[in-house]
Amino acid sequence: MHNSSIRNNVLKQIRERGIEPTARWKFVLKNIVLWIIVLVSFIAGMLAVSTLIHTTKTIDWDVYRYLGRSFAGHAAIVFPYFWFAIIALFATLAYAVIRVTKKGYRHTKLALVAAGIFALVIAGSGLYALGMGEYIDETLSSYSNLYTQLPNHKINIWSRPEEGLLSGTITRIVSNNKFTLKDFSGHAWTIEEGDVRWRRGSSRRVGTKVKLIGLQLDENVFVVNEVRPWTAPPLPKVK
Amino acid sequence: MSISLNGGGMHNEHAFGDTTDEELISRTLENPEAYEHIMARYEPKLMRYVLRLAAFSKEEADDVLQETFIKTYQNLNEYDRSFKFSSWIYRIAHNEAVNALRKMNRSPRTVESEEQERIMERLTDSLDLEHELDNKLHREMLLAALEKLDRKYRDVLILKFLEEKSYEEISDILQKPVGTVGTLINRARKQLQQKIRHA
Repeated sequence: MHNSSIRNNVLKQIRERGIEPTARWKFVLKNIVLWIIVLVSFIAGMLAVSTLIHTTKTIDWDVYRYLGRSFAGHAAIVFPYFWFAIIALFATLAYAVIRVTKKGYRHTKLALVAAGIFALVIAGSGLYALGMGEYIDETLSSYSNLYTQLPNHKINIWSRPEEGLLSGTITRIVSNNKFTLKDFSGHAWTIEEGDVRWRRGSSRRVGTKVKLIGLQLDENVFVVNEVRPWTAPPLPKVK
Repeated sequence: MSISLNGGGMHNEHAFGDTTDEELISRTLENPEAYEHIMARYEPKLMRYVLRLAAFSKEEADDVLQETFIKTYQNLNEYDRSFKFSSWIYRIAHNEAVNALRKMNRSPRTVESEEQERIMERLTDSLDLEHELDNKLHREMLLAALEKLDRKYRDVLILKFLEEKSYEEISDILQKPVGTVGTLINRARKQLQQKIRHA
C-alpha cells in the first residue's frame, strides 16, 4: 500500500477537524421518524378516503333542478374536492418520504402509487363501513367553521330557502302538520307540511337534523314537500 | 482520536488483503486508523470512476475523492450491511461528482486520450455498434454521440460497460429501481445508435 496524498489529506482532515462517524442512534432515529411520517400520512389518507366515500354517497345529486343548474354543472360544484385534496396531500407526502428511505428507490413510481391507492381504498372502505367517514364529516361540520364554509359543503347547498332548499334541526312539533326548525345560521323557521314525502331515515322528532325541499312563503315560513335525513340513512341489514 | 498520517496499516498490507469491507468497517469504527485500508482499497477504483463521469482535472478529482472519503467516514454507521459496501461508496462518489459539476456549473464531457480509447472499445463491443461504425468509419462519431447523450444515459453506460456493475449494483448506486436501470440502458443504447446514424 503506497502512501497516497488523498488518503493522507483525508486522515489529516479527520484529525484536525475532529471528524467522527455520526452515532448510529441518529440514523436509527431518522429512520424511525421517516416511517412514523409514512404511517401517520397513511392513517390520515385512510380517514380521508372513508370521509370521501361518505360525502360522495350523501351528495344529493338530484337537487340541481331546484338550483337552476345542469346536472353536470351541479356535479362539478358539489364534488368533494376537499377530501380529494387531503388524500392527494398525504399520499404525496407518504410517497416522497418512502422514496428517501433506505430502500425506497427500489420500487418504481407505478408500483408505489398502485400499492398506495389499493391499500388506501381497502382500508378507507373498511373505516367507512365502521362509520368513521360519517363521524369525521359530522364532527368537522359541528366544530369547524372553515369546513362548513367550503362552497360545496352540504350546509351551503341546503341553506337556500329562496331556491326551495332548507336544512336545520327540528326544535318543536307544533301540530300534525307544522313544526319549527332552527337552520344552521340560527334562524328560526315555521315549517308547514303540505303533501310531504318523508324519505327513509328521516324522522319527525325534536332534535333531528333534516333537509327540506319546498317553497319559502315569507321570511320565517317554509312549506315543505319533501324531508330528507341530514346524514345518510343506516345501511340495510344483511340477512 | 489518534490517527497516523503515515499510513498506520502500511506494514499490514497483506494482512488486510482478504479482509471483507464489512470487517474493515467494524475495525474502523473501533480504531479510525483502519480507515486507511478502506481508502486504499477504493481509491484507484473511485478515481477511475470519477474521471470517467466527467473531465475533471487531477486536482478536481482529488477533491471529489477526498470529500467522498470524508462523507463515507462520517456516515459509516449508516451503512446497511444488506447492501454491497462498494455500491454504497460508489453512490457517495457519484453524488459528490455530480455536486462538484453543479458547483463548477459544468456539464460532463467525454474524457480524453487513453481512457477515451478504452471507452470506445468497450462501448463498441458492448453496444453492438460495429456495424454503424464500420459504415461510417469514424470513431469520432461515437465520441461526439457520447458527448451528446443525456447524463442519465451516460451514467448507466459507464457503470454497466466500464465499471462492469450488475443491474442491482447500478440500481443501488444511482438509487433507481432495477427495471428502470434496464430501461435506461436500452434507451441509452438506442439513443447512442441514433445519434451515430444521424451524425
